[in-house]
Amino acid sequence: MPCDRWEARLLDFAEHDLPPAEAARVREHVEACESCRDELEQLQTVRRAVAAAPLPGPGPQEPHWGAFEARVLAQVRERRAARPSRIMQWLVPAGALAAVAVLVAFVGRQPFEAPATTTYAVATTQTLEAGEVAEIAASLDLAWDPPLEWDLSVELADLTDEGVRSVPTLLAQGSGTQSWATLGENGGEALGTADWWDELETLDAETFDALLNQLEQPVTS
Amino acid sequence: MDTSERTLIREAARGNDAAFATLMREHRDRVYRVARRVVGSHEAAEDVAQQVFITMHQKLETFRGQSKLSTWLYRVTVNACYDHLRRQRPQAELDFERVPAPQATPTERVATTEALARIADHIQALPAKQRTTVTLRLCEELSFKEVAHAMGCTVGTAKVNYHHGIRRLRQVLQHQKAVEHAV
Repeated sequence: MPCDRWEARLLDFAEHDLPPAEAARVREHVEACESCRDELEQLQTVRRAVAAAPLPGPGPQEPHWGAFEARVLAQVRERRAARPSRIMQWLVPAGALAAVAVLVAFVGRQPFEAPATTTYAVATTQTLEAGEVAEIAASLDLAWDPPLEWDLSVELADLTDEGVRSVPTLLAQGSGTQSWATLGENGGEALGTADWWDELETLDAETFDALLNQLEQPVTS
Repeated sequence: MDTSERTLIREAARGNDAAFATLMREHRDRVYRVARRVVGSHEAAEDVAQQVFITMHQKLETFRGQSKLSTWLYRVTVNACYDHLRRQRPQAELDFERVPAPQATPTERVATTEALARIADHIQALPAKQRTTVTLRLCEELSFKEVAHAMGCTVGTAKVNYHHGIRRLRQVLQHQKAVEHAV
């Protein structure tokens, strides 16, 4: 049995993952302690064995790449063919957004009393920084779904990294203070600005879809 | 990322299938290898790899090259593997509970020795996150930072999973050694 005090550090040592001074202390101990030396050797043996292990299970060690490539390319082409033309990609969501804008403006002018329990995601113009991307993802409660969270953060990160600093917030979650009226005031204004449309033109179809989905999604406060 | 890869990405995003195929050829081995080690079977790994490249094609337009394409693909691959494992959950993470204790009968010991003959199978029996960290760290030789990025977790979490995985493998190998001596 390795010494309790050193056991946890032996693997870090094997991984060259210790600061130099700490590594020197472990080395010194291992040279003097047979059981820890034994443990370290075993850990290194496991590491080597794993690194050299073949792929698991029955089947070939690699696919028939020619057929694989053909299948992927066929799917890619199929998806491309199914996608609407560039113009349609813009017209349809732009039409939907215009409809939302009209609705928002209309509702904003009405003496409308919103249901107390429902607010809607508001499209505002704001600057997104890297930290905010994570916050937005967290506010959407996507933590349970890493792929979705990742997709979202990739999209957001790409927007910011592209230098698009002023974009419509995808998804300002209803805070309880927002209402139909504020949506009409802020969302309508944002939707009506030329910048907004310019920004939209830089988005790819999927991001645009995400925007639309969020605009359509009720948020319970 | 080198210029040629950047050019290929740009071309592929514009719909150039030859450029996309070249990118796929450059990365397919590592994507398949990781998928195979995480999901286990050849068929499942092929499905995962296929999904990864379709995702890659869809996302190329938004890939800005802050990280290497390979780094990004590791992440997409790990996510695709976990999607697959979520769908297959009843069969995943199985074997450790079935490993007989050292005091098992001689017949069981022989069976155990045969069952534990390959380290690859032992890796397969690890819980998914341990299996993934061990694979990425030792088979793909990623740094812990890269492992953490691929798994969407902190470096600390990646290390914890890795440590558990390695210690578990060490226990199994010790057990195997004991069984081999006993039979």
